[in-house]
Amino acid sequence: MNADDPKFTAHVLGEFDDLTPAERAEIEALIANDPAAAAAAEETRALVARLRAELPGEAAGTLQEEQRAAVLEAASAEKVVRFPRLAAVLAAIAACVIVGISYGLLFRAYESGSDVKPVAAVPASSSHFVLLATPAPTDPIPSPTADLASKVTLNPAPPVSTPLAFDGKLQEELKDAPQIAALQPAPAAPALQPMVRAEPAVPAQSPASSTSSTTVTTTSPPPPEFQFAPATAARKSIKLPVGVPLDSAEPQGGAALSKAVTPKDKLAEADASKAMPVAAWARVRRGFAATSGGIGDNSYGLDDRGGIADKASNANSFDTLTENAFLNVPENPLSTFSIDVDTASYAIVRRYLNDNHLPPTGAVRIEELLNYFPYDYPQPQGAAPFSATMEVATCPWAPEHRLVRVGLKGREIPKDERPPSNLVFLIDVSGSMNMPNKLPLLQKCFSLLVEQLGPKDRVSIVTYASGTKLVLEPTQDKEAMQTAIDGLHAGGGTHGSSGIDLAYRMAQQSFIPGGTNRVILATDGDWNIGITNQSELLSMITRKAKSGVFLTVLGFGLDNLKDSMLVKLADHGNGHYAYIDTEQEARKVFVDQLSSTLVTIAKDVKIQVEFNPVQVSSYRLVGYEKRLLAKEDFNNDKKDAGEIGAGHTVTALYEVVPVGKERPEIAKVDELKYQRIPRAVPVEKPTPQRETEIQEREKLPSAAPAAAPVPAAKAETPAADGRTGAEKPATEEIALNPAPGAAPADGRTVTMHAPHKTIIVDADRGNNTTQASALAEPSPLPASVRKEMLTLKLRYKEPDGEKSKLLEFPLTDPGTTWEKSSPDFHFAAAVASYGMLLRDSKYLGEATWQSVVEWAREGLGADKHGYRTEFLSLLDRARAMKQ
Amino acid sequence: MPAPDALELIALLDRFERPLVRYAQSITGDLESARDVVQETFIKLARGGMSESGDVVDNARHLEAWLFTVTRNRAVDHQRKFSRIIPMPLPEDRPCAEPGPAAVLERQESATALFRLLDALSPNQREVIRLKFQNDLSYREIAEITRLSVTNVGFLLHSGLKKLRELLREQSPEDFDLSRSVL
Repeated sequence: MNADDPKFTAHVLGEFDDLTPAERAEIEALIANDPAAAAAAEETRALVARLRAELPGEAAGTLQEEQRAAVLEAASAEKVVRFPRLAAVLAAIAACVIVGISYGLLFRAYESGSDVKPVAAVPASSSHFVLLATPAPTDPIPSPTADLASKVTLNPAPPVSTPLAFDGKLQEELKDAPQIAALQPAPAAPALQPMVRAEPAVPAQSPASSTSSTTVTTTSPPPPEFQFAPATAARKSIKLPVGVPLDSAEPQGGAALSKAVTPKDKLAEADASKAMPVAAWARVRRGFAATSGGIGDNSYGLDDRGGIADKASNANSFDTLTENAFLNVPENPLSTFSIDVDTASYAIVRRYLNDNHLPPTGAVRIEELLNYFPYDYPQPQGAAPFSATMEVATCPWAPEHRLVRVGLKGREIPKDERPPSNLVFLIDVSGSMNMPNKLPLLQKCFSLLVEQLGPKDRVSIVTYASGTKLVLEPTQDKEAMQTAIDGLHAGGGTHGSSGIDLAYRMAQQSFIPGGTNRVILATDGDWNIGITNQSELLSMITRKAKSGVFLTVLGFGLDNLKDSMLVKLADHGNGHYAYIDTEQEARKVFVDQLSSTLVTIAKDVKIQVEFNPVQVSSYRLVGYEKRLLAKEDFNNDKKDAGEIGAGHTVTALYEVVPVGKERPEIAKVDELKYQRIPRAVPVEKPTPQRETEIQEREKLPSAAPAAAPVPAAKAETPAADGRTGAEKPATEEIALNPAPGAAPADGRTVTMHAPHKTIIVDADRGNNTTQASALAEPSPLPASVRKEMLTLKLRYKEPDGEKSKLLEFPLTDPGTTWEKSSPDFHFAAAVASYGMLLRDSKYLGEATWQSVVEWAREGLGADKHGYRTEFLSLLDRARAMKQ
Repeated sequence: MPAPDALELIALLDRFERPLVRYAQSITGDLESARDVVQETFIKLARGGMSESGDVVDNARHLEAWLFTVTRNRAVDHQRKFSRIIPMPLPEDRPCAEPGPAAVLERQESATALFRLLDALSPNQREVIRLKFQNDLSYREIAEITRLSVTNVGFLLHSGLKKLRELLREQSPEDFDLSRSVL
């Protein structure tokens, strides 16, 4: 044996399968004793590291949309198409991802993950492996801190009539098992998750929970969407969950596969989710493209300062993005998405325009343009962390249509009341940062931040290049911070993942309960060492985010900005993403809006809008393509969503086509044979309220089982206005749909501001929702409800909470004209149109550069910081370039 | 393995379409036919093609190998049909093979250099190196996909890596040193 034997190379590559122990020993001895062989092995390893780092970066094409559609059609022709929970899909992806990496690598990733102490100090790696390796355990009584492995395998499939405890209950269990929470959605967990979610109630449950689940089953059957996991699911090999539709649950399924079983759901049939038109696939896919971390690097060229727009030599990478289309209300009554407070796209576009280039369409994300600007929404009152405002008026680019603006405003926190901060600056000092518009700007940026900090704020600094360095131990000494920042210099490769690991560990080390704990990452995102695979990196950051540390991502430079990566990092890491192109931008982020940047006041904020088919024929969500959620995700507290900072405003626009107006072109599918729902008959309220009810009850400590339903209702009733909460279930149903403008009896104050409608939540109404009993039979909607255009539902969690709260607001269109709408409404419409013009959107309608300038002028308002005025000058630049 | 449903297919498409298109393109030499090949592969999968092949193994790892195998077979068929030189592509239509402007990073330049060096290998060597390091497949999976023996795969990888090392040492010694210092 010598170094020139293929077996030698196989050994160096870690391919031991076809080597005998004797051969392995021989090769190891050779490497140990023969310097030439050792050198050869070392050289091969170095080469392999390069190949592994660089080959996956090779450009890779994708199928055309039509080709994907053809593939999906082939699938739907093959069998009845179902719509499993998104979790199942994510599991499928995760399983694929797992498969894409070697077990060794996986193990290492887990070990490093376990260095960070999760809230409960169970190392993720151990639970992971318990999970995979456990044969069906026999312990018949699940402990309260549910051992998931045993949960999964314990329960045989129930007969269909078994009372089901679904989501809420299970989430409660998950909450009690933080080691699992810390795991999920690390690669193995998603494979597990769909099996566990919605698990049937076990007789051994605590009386409290079984009481509540029984209550529910008797009042109204919940959507019995459950999945069971055959014992074999715990085998070491990870499988793709493969969904098999079943009409009757058949115990154990008998298969070696883990089957996701979706029994026929009588209620859900009404919402046409079973058979999804092919056109909708694209939307679904986009919905989770952001989460799945498709290794999509669509690149558009622009070099550093010269700005050579050369498609071949580019290095920036933006994910392509297909605009949301109009959706028909009867088929898609619910629109669900996560809020988003990223602003990067606006600054990136500005940078392109200032360089005299049009931005690539993938860089233009309309929600980030909209949310770059603060709007004049009312401060929240009472306990709720944010207010919600809705306004509807004529859509300026399509006068037949209505434009609905949804605005959220996080509570302002005055500078001197900001809770103490524990900040970790994670700074990329690799060679690629060594440019005037990167490192020096970055240093200025952090200096500005340090100037703003108070005596209670603590900072540590981690840098990464080829290696990771702790440059500054946690300190409150501002001078030391400044010196460390000034001393930064760039050079070397970029080992992003190791830096993240250390930064989160530092943040954990000096964690301030109740304070601001945040990693601030500054980079161009171009990482070439360590974990560079997007999905691995994202699952790592998702794990880290579970530690309660929030993330700010600052993008720098425009020569090889990995925007697609940074967007996803922020989305997965409980973070927000800003792009710093100038010192002014640094000032906006770290001086003008410091509290928004640092202090998170609510997390996992999700929006679900239910449109009334009596009033609305179709709608289009403007922007938020990267943040779409499946409708089921709204009530799924495990599903991550966006954070809102102190004083942040979040704005979303819907273009709505009223009934009777000509519908814009909608991707056509054949009319469905089995899905005809008479338009006039009200669609039943979907299930979230009932589900919430359960979640709420589960809050009760199981130690007090006898106290179950009634005190639960009390506990969840807001006391903010002094009302006591002994509402009877029947009145709660009324509270759910208050007549527009009427103050409901549950502690909400509904304020109307002519000419647009403003609703302020002033109490933590939380999950105060309906009893299900009234929903059993569809009855005609009351006239006041028929008039409603839509109902806005919001879910959010407290920054350190695990359980979401629900807010609900109906909106009736008062028929406001464009002229009568508010200045902010004009400005938001102008910003959205600007995005559509840059993207050459097909939904532009009558918008022109000229009209957009007018609308923006009308909406200038006070413009305290001059952002809106600057927007006007950008409009001019863009117009000149486009024309 | 039963045919995946549409949502699973979407997940699989998202996960595998790029690696597969890239692999197919390395055989067909052009993106259009690579797309066609991959579309056919997925349609076959959608129609339950995996179970037709009589395989009982049901794990996802196997699925990956299956996708690559079908893609390869179709791509090679396609090549035969259009009677071009059998396997390997010209590097022209790969954007990363183009030299970057001065401002483009060192790293990218070295990546470009690496791709250029790959072109000096035999088509077989290049293919196994791609499968191994671009797609992280094992010797056995590569053997299954390429219908070579495991020994053969081992030999091709060994000789391919050796050639690359030599080329790197000759052509850009400092570049190679750089990559070593990074480790």
